[in-house]
Amino acid sequence: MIYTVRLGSLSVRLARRHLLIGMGLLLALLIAGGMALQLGQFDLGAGDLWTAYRGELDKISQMILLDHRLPRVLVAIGAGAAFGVSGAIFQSMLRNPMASPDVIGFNAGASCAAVLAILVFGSARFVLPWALTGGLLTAALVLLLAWDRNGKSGIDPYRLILVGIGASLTLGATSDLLMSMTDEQRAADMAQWLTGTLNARNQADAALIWGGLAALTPVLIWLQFPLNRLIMSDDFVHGFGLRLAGLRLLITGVGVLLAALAVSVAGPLPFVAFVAGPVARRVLKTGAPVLFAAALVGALVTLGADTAARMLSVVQLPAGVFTAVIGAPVLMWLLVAQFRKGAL
Amino acid sequence: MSAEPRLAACELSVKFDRTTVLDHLSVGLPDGQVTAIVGPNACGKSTLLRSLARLQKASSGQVILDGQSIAAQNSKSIARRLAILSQSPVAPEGLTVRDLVLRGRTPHQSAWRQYSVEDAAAVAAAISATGLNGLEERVLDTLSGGQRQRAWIAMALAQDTELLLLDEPTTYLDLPHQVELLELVRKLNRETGRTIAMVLHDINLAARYCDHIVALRGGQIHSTGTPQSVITQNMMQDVFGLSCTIIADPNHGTPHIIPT
Amino acid sequence: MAADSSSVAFSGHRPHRLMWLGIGILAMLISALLSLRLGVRLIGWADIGRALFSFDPDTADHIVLWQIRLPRMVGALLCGGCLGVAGALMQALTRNPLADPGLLGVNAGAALGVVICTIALGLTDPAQFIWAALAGAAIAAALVFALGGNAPSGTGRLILAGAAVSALFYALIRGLLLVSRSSLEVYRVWVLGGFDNVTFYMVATLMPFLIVGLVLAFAAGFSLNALQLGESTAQSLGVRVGFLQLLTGAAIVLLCGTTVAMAGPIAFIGLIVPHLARVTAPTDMRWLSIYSAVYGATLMALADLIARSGMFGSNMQAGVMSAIIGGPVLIWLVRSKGVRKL
Repeated sequence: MIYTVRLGSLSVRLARRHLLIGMGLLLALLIAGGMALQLGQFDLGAGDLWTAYRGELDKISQMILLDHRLPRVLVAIGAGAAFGVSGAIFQSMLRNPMASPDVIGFNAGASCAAVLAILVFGSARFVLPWALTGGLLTAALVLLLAWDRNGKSGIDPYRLILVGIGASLTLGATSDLLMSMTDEQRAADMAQWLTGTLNARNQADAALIWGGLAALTPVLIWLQFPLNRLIMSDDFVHGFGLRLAGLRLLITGVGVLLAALAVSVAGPLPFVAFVAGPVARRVLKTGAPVLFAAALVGALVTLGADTAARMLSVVQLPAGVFTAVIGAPVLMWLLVAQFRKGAL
Repeated sequence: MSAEPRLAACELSVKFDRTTVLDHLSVGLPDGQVTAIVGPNACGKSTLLRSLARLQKASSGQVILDGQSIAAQNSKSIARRLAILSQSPVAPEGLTVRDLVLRGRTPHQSAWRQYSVEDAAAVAAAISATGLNGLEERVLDTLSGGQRQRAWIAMALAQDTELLLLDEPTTYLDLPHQVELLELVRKLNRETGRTIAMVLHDINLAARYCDHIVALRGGQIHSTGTPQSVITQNMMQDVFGLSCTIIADPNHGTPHIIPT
Repeated sequence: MAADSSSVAFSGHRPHRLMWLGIGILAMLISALLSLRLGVRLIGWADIGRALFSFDPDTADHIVLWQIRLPRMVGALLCGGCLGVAGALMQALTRNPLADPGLLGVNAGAALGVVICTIALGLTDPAQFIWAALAGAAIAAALVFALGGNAPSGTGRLILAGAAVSALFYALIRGLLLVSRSSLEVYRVWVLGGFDNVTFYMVATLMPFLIVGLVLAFAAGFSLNALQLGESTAQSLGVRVGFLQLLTGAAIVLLCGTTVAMAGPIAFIGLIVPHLARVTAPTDMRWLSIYSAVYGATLMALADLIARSGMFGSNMQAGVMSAIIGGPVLIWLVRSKGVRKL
C-alpha cells in the first residue's frame, strides 16, 4: 500500500509499511529512552520523570536526572542516529553492505587524534575538538587519495574502500604505539575512549550532536532522492543526468561529518554504523537506502548498549563492548544471507 | 535524408590509455528510424553508443545533439531528450517493476517532486507499452529474463525521450525473446516516432527489424545505409572476415546471411 | 598438460631469476648477522664467532647473544618467512592481490585466541596458547571466506569482510582487556608485535606447527598453479578445488596463528612480500613461496633492526612499524593502475 501525497508542486510517495514500521521504531526508541532515564544505580520511577518535568523533584534526583542521565541518553540517541545514517549513506553510495565508516577507517583518524590529545594533555578533557579535527582531516586525505581524476565518477568506490582501510591500518597502529608510550592511567583513559564510551557526557556534548543532526537534516531529506538512484550502476546515474562526481563528494562529506560528530561525543562505538543500515533495510524489506529508519535503529542499538553498560557496572565496561557484541550476530546474519543467495 | 540528424558523431575519437577504440568517426542517426550498429567484437560498437549518450568522454572530435556539442550541454537537459539502456544492467536488490520504471523519471523529478501526475502517467504508459501490466508489484529478481529486459526498456521509455539508445538489448535472451523484444522496439518506433539506435550481434535480425545499418570496423565506419545496401558479401568479408551468400528472406525480403 | 608446463617452469627457468634468489638469501644472511651484532651494546664479529662456536657462560656478550639476540633473530626470520608464504598463499587462493593475513582478519582471530589465554586465563606457555591462536585464526579465516570468498575480485568485498571481522575481533579483545588494569598493561605492549620476548623454548615449541604449515604450503603450491586459471578450469584439469582450498586454508592458519602466538599481530609483510616476489620469481607457486619466504625473512629482520635502533623511540616494535608503513604502501598499490589486473 503506497500513499501519494501531492501539494502544489510537491509530490512524494510514502509506503504504508515504511510509515508504520518507522512509527513503531520511534515508539520503541521513546520507551527505551524513558526506561534509560529511570534505570541506574539511583532508581527513579516513571512518576519521577513527570514530577521532574514539572520542576517539583528533590534536588538530588533533579540533578541526577537533568545533569547526568538526560544528557547521556540524548547523546546516545543522537550519536547512534548519526552513526546509523552515516553507515546507511556509505553502504548505499558504495553499493556494499559492509562499507560502513567504521570498517573503511573513517573513525580511525578521530581515534588517533583523541589518543594523541590524551597523551598531550594527560586527560580526556580536550578530546572532543581533537577528535573532530582528526576525523575530518583524515577523511579529507582519504578523499583526496581516492579521487579519480580521469574518470567521470569522481570517487571510485573500490578505491575509496581500500584507501580507507590503508589509512586505518596506519592510524590504528599509530594509536597502539601512542598507547604504549604513556603511563597506566592515561593508557586506561585511551583504551576507554578507543572502545567508545558515553561516561560523563554533559549538556554541551548533547547540544553538539543534536545541533549537528538538526543542521544536516534538510540535506539528508534531500539526499534520499539522489541516493535512491546512486544504488544503480554509474551508467544509469549519468544517463539520468545526475552529476555523479559532485553527488559522491557531497554524500561523502555529509557521511563523514556525521561520523566525525558521533565519534567526537561517543568515541568510535564499533559496529553501530555497520549494523544500522542492513537491519533497517531488512525490517522495511527494501533495498533502498533508508536513512530515517537507519537513524532509529542506530539510536536504539546505542541506547541499548549504553544502558546495558550502565546496568552491568560490576566491572565498568564501556558501551563499545556491547555494540561490538551486538555486531557479531549481525555479521553472522549477513553471512547466512550471503550463503542463501549463493544457493539460489 | 535531408536535414541534419538530431544526434550525430563528428570526427569522434576515443582512446583508452594508448589503444584507439574509435578513430575519427563521423556518423548520424536518421531521425524517426531504427538504427542497428553492427560489427565484430571489439570494433567499438558499444563505445560509439556510449559516446553518443555522453557516457564516454571523447578524446577528440565531438558528439552533436540538436546542433550543439553534447559535452557543452546540461546533463539533465540531455536526459530529457536522450535515454540509454546499458548492457546487462543490474538492479538493486528487492526493487519492484514499478519502482524500477519510476527511476526512469529521474530527469523529470526532484527531491520535492518525486511523483507528479505526469510521472504516474508516463510510468503507466511505459508499463503497458512493454506489456508488463499485472507485473508492476513483482520484484525484479523473480521475473524471467525476457520480462526483466522489458522492464528495463520500460524504464528507458518512462524517461520519455525522443531518442533511445539500447546497448545489446538482446544479449542473454533466447531466440523467441529476441524476436519479441525487437518487435517491441519496432512497434515503439512506429507508434511514437522515436529515434532508436541499438547495438546488435545478429545481422539477420538487424536486417529484419532495422531501417538503417551502421557497420563498424576497427573503430571506423565501414558503411551506412539501408539493410539492402549495407549487408553485402563484400561488407561481410571486409568487416567480419566471413565469406557468405546473401539471400532474400523468403518472408520479408530483407537480406539474410548464409555462411558458406 | 598443466603438469608438464609447470614442471618445466619448475626446473628450467632463466638464470637471472635464480640470481635474485641468491641476492635475497645474501641479504637475509647479512641482516641476520647484523641483528646479532647490533643492539644496546655492539658485539664484535670475532666475539659473535666465539660465542657461537665456543660458548663461555661467564662472558656477558655470549649470554646476551644466546639468551636474547639469537632467539630474537631466529624468531624474526621464521615469522617473516612464514608471513611471506602465508601472504603468497592467500593471494593465490583468493586471486586477490590485496589479500594479507592482517587485512583478512586471520591475525585478529589468532590475537583474540592469544589474548583469551594469556591475559584472561593467565597462561604463559606457548605450548598452551598456540592451540587457542590456531583456533581463533581458523574461525576468523572461515568467517571471512564465507562472507566474501566467492566475490569477484575488484569488488573489494573480501577485503571488507576481513576488515569487518578484524574490527569485531579487536573490539572483543579491547572489551576483554578493560576487565582488568593489569591485562591492559600486558596487552598494550603485546599488540605492537615484536620479538622482545622470544626464547629458544618458544621457538622450539612452535617449530613443529611452522614446519607442518610450510609442508602443506608446498604441497598446495602445485595445484594452486592451476587454480590461477580459475576454479572451473582447475577443476577440469583434475584439481579437487574444495580439498585444495581446505589444504591452503590450513597452511595459512598454521603459519599465521603460530606467528601471532610468537610475535603478536604483524600486518603488511604478507601483503607486500608476494608482490616483490612476483616481480622477480618464476610464476610457479612453489618458487614464489620460496622467494616470498626469503624476502619476508629479510624484511622482518630489517624491520626489527630498525625498530630497536631507537630511532623511533623505545616503544617501537617491528610489528607496529610495518603496520604504519603498510598503510601508505597499500594506498600506493591501490592507486598504481596495475593492481586490479594482477
